[in-house]
Amino acid sequence: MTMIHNRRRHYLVAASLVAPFMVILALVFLYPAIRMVALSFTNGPLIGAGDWVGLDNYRRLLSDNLFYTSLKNNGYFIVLTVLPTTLLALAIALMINRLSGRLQATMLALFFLPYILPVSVVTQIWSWMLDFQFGIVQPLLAFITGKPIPVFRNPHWVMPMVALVTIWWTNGFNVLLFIAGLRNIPVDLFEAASLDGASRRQKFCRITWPLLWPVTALVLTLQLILQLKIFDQVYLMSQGGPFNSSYVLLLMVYREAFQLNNGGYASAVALVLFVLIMVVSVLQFQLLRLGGGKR
Amino acid sequence: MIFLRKRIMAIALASMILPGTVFAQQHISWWDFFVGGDGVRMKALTSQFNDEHADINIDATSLEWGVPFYTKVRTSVAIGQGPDIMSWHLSRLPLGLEEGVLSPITDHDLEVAGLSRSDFFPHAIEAASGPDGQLYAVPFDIHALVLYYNKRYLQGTDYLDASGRLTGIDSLEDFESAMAAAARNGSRVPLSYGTSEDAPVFRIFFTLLKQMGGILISPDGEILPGDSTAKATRAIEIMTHWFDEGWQPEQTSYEASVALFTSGEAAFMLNGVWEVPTVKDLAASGKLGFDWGVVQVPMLLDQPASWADSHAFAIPANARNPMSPQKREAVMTAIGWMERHSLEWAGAGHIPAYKPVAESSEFQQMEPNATYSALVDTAMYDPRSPIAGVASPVYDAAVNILAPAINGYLSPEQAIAQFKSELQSRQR
Amino acid sequence: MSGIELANVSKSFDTTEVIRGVSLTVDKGELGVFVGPSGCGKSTLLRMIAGLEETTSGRISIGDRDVTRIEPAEREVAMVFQSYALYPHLSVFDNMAFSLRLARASKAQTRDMVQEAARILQLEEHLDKKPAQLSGGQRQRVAIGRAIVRQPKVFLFDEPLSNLDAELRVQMRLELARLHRRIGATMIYVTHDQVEAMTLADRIFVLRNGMVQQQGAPLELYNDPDNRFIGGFIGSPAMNFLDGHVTAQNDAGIEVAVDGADGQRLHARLASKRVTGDRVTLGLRPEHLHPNADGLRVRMEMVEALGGVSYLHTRTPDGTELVVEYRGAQPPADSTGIAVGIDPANVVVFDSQGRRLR
Repeated sequence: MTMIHNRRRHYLVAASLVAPFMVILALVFLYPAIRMVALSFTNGPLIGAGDWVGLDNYRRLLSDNLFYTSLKNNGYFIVLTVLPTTLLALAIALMINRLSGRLQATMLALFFLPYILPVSVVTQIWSWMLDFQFGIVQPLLAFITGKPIPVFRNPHWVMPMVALVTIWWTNGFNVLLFIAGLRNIPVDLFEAASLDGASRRQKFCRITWPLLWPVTALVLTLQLILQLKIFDQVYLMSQGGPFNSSYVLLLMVYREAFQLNNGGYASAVALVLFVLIMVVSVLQFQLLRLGGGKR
Repeated sequence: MIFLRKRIMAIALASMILPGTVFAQQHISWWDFFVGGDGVRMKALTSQFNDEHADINIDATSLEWGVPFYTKVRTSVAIGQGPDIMSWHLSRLPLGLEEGVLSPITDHDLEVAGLSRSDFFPHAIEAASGPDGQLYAVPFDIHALVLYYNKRYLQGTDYLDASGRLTGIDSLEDFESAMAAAARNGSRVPLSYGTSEDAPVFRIFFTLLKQMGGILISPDGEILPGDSTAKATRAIEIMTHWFDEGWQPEQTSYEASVALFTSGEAAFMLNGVWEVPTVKDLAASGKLGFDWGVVQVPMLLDQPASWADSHAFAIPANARNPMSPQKREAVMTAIGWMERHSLEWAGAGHIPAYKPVAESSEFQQMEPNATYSALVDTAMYDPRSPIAGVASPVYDAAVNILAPAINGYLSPEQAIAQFKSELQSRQR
Repeated sequence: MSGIELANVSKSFDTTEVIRGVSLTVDKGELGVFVGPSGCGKSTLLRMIAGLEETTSGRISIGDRDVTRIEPAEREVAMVFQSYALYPHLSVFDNMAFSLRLARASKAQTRDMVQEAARILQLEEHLDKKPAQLSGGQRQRVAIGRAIVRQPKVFLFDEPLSNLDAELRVQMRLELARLHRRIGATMIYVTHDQVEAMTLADRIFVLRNGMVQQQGAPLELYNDPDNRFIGGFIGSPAMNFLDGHVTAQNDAGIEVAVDGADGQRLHARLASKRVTGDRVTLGLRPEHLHPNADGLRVRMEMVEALGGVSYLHTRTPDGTELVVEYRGAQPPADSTGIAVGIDPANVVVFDSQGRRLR
């Protein structure tokens, strides 16, 4: 009897502790999310009611060339960022990990510094550095390619450059995750491996890499989600151009919702993006876990 | 602070001196998007208005120009939390009407303000009216694309008259040979404009299109109907030609394009009237280093035309929170006062939309505004479409497709074809 | 199989010298134990032999080969870590096969060697498990198995039993002793536990402050400590120490007045000459003390009765603790005062600096 009573009290306490969070979550996430789903089946504006149009918005989406262009650009951006930033962060983390003391702290701070900058500052810095008329990087580009390049106005350069800026901006956090992961590997293991006759490369392949795999999988998944949500950098540096070569799904959501007041259509695009991110990231995480389990 | 305290004391005193009169001051919440030089002038006007009107107090807030401003208005008006008065681009009126955020300005309103339709230039009134002819905003100014020139590079050519004014540009050939002459005279950039940006490229494209009599969007929503496609292609060809000849700078931002002119590298600059104070102030402080002038865009093609837009005052349709008649009167009083004091505003390079000021001898003597004010007769507003106007899909397409095209990334035909299909797909 | 020789080996971290000119030899097939209190440098010395720490000066030889500047892998030593350092992502089999695979041994050979080690260590049924699924003792055996598989010249053990509970520790200690006898390899074993040292070692090296204080067979160290520190460190319960001064000397030895004992005297055998009044410390093993009516009168404080043997915790009149081993069915009650005596031959004498006098 007391047991049951206690257990009930236990649940009550737990519920009361979780309740504030659940209420806030329901208010600022769940409710708007449900409303957004509902909105995507109407022709409503950003604010105010619209008429139920069923799947019209989705049908329209499937025949919207800009949607396919954006989808392709999102994919291209993923290719340009996710794997490169992960490998780069790992390489930097391995190098920093070999330093010690103040030098290590300084290097870590240097690589982490860009991450604390707001996106507007980051894009401003790079817009200046890469400015076609006055940018200090232009002489370098001119030296390599033979002439200065308006990188954010050139359909071939724009996505790689946005990716480069993004990697520069966000890499520090990944480095930090990898450093934490590396520090979690006991030094003993490397010493044991040294005695077992492992070379530096073998130690990396047979100990560091497999033991770091959970962190690597985490970084890859976080990056995938983050980079699928690319918006700010494109909005601030290239506005989706030239020739839509940097147009991405979130920019489409933004333009439809806030510029054209098409709340319903924008919601449909947003929902498709949401489902896409969910499916892709769950799929990737499962694949990575499978890959990790086989080791 | 001291100023405010004085006002409070004045109000307090007034209410003591006049016992029995209920002193009801109307607070007007005012949103605008004026920053920089425009912002300073507008602040001076509102505080002068407040000083002269003990019974009305304008509480002004300046917000970020472009999509953020219009989004904020749209969302706040939808829930009845909009301002009492706001600034508005007339090019943006069609979208405002579609969204239903604008309250009609009635003849009674105009009467309260001491204004009438005939006080304004017809193009501006037309742009401020809905398809039904109902007025939805009160035009404040007309600002347009104009041609700035640096006299140093035109010295000794046929394009400067005896008194040092630009002359002899009556066709595209004339303009291009003037640019060639300027280049020979050492101008690195004969014609400066923001070749990598949406608005600068669009304004010139639109001006050229209109000088050929082309139509960007027909009333029934067709993009570049009939031979307008060919005309638009021609406009892009002209701009691309300027690029090919090295007359216009490659991929240049707006700020850089202004700097190219004020630093004396450009012979011409195609830009809005709002840069007049910039050049004027530099000249006045002796930092410009050359003699300059500004004229309305010459007739380069078949007919005179200049891209133009207007700043206007509009009253939000706060349906959930209707305005009291007293407040509306106060708002209209403020608008009327602003119109009558628009000479001050013209200092920012604009042409007053209110004819009594525009035709006054003070404005007629105001230079360089008086030189180009005749452009109001051929001012061409953006097409009346929800996808046109400031910060619209048309502007996006300009930076996305037209700007790279004139920098050599796409042929004019292909660019116009893409431009057309892009805008067609943005229409619902 | 080879012996190990250290010649004047030193190690400094920055300006701190942690190993100071250590010279020692562990003969082929011997099990040498480094023992000492924490911070004495015993683990550092072991890691220097393994090649995991650089040697600042001196020479380390394994067999007849100078390995001082040679990579760990080339030294043909295997080490068992305190933490076991098992590769958590590999199965028991893969852990043991790790070094063989790096050495590109054939599959059959690898399997045979791992199977053999697993048989010796009774790990056959656990070969497919991951380390996390094993108990502490099993992990310990895997770590040893990993070392065995390599067939090294020298085995190094760094406090291998300290993470086990008491019962398991005793059991593993015996297993290790058995293993040593079976494979007869040269081994060095580091511990802070003198019981482990005593039970396992062929030769003990007692370290303190980076120096070897004394080396020898366990009983040599027990019976004939070179200084007071060794006397106190080796043996459990520890040696008792009584301070006093010399009052007389003859051919047989000295007579010492114990401090704070009302002039009571003890006798110790001593060959070297002392001057009357010299300060000395007498070392008395608990098992050498026995009740004697003419002996030193002490106060009983507590009795630890362990059955066959009891430890009487007593205090001299000035409060110095004295532990007496009592063998008999019925130890005296706590409250009684007793007198204890000792054969002068069993008394160990140290000078006031703690150096052994003989």
